[in-house]
This record gives sequence, C-alpha cells and structure tokens, in this order.
Amino acid sequence: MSITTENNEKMITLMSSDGEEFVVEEAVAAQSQTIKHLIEDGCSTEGSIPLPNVTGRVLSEVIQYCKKHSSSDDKEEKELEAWDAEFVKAADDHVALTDLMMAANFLDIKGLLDLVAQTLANMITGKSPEEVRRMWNIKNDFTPEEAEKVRKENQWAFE
Amino acid sequence: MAVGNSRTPSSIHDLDDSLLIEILQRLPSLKYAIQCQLVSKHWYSLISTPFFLRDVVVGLMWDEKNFKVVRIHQPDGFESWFAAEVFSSETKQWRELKISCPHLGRTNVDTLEDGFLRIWELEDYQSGKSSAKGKTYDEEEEEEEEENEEEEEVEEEEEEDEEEGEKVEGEGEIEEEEEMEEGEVEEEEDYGGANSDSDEVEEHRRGQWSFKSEAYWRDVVYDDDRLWRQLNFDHPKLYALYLDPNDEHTVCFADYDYPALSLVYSCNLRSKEMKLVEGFQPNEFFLEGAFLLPLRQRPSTIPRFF
Repeated sequence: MSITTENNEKMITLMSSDGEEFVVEEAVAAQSQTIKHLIEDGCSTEGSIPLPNVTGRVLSEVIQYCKKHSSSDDKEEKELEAWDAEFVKAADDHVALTDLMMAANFLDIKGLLDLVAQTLANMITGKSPEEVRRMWNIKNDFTPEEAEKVRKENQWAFE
Repeated sequence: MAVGNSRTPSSIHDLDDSLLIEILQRLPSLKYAIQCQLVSKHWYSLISTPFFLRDVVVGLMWDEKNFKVVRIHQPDGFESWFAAEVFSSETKQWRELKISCPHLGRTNVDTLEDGFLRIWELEDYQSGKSSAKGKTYDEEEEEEEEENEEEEEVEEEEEEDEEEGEKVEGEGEIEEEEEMEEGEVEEEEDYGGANSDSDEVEEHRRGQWSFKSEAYWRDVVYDDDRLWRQLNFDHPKLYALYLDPNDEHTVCFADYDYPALSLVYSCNLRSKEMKLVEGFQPNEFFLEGAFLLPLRQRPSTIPRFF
C-alpha cells in the first residue's frame, strides 16, 4: 500500500513478524537496501511489506535509526555520531544488540551493521575468554590440554 | 528464528559465522582476536581461518642471494583490489604494488610461492576444482637478469600456465601502479566467466593434473590452516620471519641458517621503518607460536609440463 502525505512524500507500510505495522516515508525505509529493492521490484504496491525475520520491537528501533540517518546530512556528522552512541547505549544489553545486528544484516543497512558490530567488538575488548563466555553464555569446550596448545600457538598474544 | 522473538531472546549463538566474524574483525588488534580463540572451539576455528586474516598476509620470498618481504592487504572499500607491499633486501626499499582481482568475494585466500602470488577462489571446491582468480609474479625478478636460476624458474612457471590453458586467462600481474591499465582489468573480468569453461578445457586440465595436484589446490586453501603458520625448518635457505609480539605491524626476519652470524631486522610495515634488532638471542628466535603466513614451496608432486 502506498499512500501520499501532505508534503507529497510516499509512504510505505512495513509489517513485522508479529504483525505490527509501521508506516514510514519511503526515503526512510529505503535506508534498507533489502526494502529498497523490494520497492523497486514493485512489491510495495499491493499492501504492506512483510518482514518475517524482524519483530516489532526490533523493527521500531531500526526505523528510529533509519529516520535519523535519512534526515541528517553530512555536516551534522558529529551530532549523528553522538546520536549513534546514545542509540546503541539504549540497546545496551548484548541480546538486544545481536537482535539489531541480525535485523541490520537481513535488511541490509550497512551503517547500522557497522555500528552494532563495532559496539559488540568493544564489549569483547579487554575481556578474558572466561568473561566473554559468561557474557554470551558460551560453553568452554576446550580441555585444559587443548587450551594450553592454543595458547602455545600464539604465545605472544597471551603474554 | 525471528529476530528479537521475546520468548527466546537471540544471543551470540544465533549469529551466523559471517556476522560473528564481522564482530571479531573489529577488535582493536590481532592480539585481542587471538586471545578470543580460547573462548570455544567454534571461535577458535573462526579466528584461525585465513578468511578471517585476509587483511594481513605476510610472506617471505627468497632465493640464493636476496629476500623479499611481502605484505598483502585489501584496502578498505576496494573489494576487487589487493595492495601488496614488497621489501627487497637487494634494493633495501619498499615498493607498493596493486593487484587487480575483480569479482573476488570474501572467500578468497592468497598465498605466496616461489616469487609468485596466487589468489584463489573457493567456489568450485565442491566439484573438486579450485580456480586461481589472479596470478602474478614480481616483475623485479624478471628485471634482474643476473639471477639466471630464478629467471628460469619464472619461465618454467609461465610455461606451465600456458599448458593449463584456463589459468592463463586469469593472470593478474602485479603491476607498478602507474602501469596499471584499464585493459588489464577487463582481461580479468573475462576470466570471470571462465568458471563455466567448456568441457574440453576442463578435460584438458584434468588430463594434465593428477589427483595429487588437485589435492594441492585444496591443500593451499583448505588444509589445516596451521600449516600456513609453520615454517619449514628443514629448508636450508630459510629466512625466519615472525611478527613482533608487541606490534603486529612489525615483522622480524633473519637468515636462519646462521642465526649467530646473521643480522636480524625488524621492519614496521606501516611506517616502513627498518632497524636492527638489538640484544638478539638465537634461542629466542623460535618461530613456533609466531603468527605468520609462510611462503609455501610449490610441492614436488606438481607435474611439470615439458
């Protein structure tokens, strides 16, 4: 379904996996390469665009990001960076961030993918393997001997 | 599963390997990444792949008299280009080279051998044929007339390529930047379609290459990647190479034959600054555990076509 607003901006309806609908300007939705291609292929004319891999909660965050980034131009770069930092801070816990990352990947929004991947990398940085495991609930499947072998392979990195 | 499904929140386990690699590649240094190898066997496998390390391939080439250090990386935002920096012990200078390799995705691996640089694509692995997307040789070696032995080696290699037929199309010569022509690129793009080569060419190739040689193709790209990191200590003319433990951009190298006599240099691949390593102890100069990608010799099982 495409409707037009007063200022002649074409609107697109996005539907999340749990059936929530979001009406956004086409320029905002087109921040996602995936959606952009769907629009170009004419998939948006017969109703809303279904996004079966993204829930409403995550989609609303993604749309927030896209709105901000479609309305800002280059000279606001500093401000945008600060906004990005706040944005990922709000999605603080790593579970929400992995959700966002998968959504950014599926929707093909490079800026968001970069932002979230960097944030997650920053969270790993400086943590011991044990802390990383705890953070993400990863099982340590190395025997002590195997772990020692890995350490020996790249001794320099563990000193 | 759906992203952000509230009943089963997603976690790192739900991320594809490619996404996990996206995260790990953004760690501030290789050191942190290596430390993360200890998290789990899965993480170890991801961080050990040449795929993960595509930005930093360091190799060493040597002959009777001279050696060269090569660093290959993929410049940001230039998917189809590789940049190589070559240090020659003869000229004591670094040169920057550009290697054109259109259509290379993220599945490529590059390796160095006998003065050759090969860039591989893995997509044909299923059918047992890996294809070389780009192949190049160091021009310097051709220019150095007096190095007859090496000269011959280069010619041999070229003859081989002509026999291979298919591969000669895919040659991507290392070019001095200013010599890189548009035509060069197009020639390689042509090769993009060579994967669907006629059966005749494929038959020809299969006829020439024994199973062993096919295994070699896979060896290079698929074998236990730790092979890549272990220098062959039996080689009589080996120059050892390792990365400075405190700085991954610095490589150190020396003539391993006579460690007590040889000069050990360290050079920073970013600043190109080179200096003698002081207080060098031969027994410290042990490569096991160093992070490196050695020059691989062309295995003797490869048949010669003449």
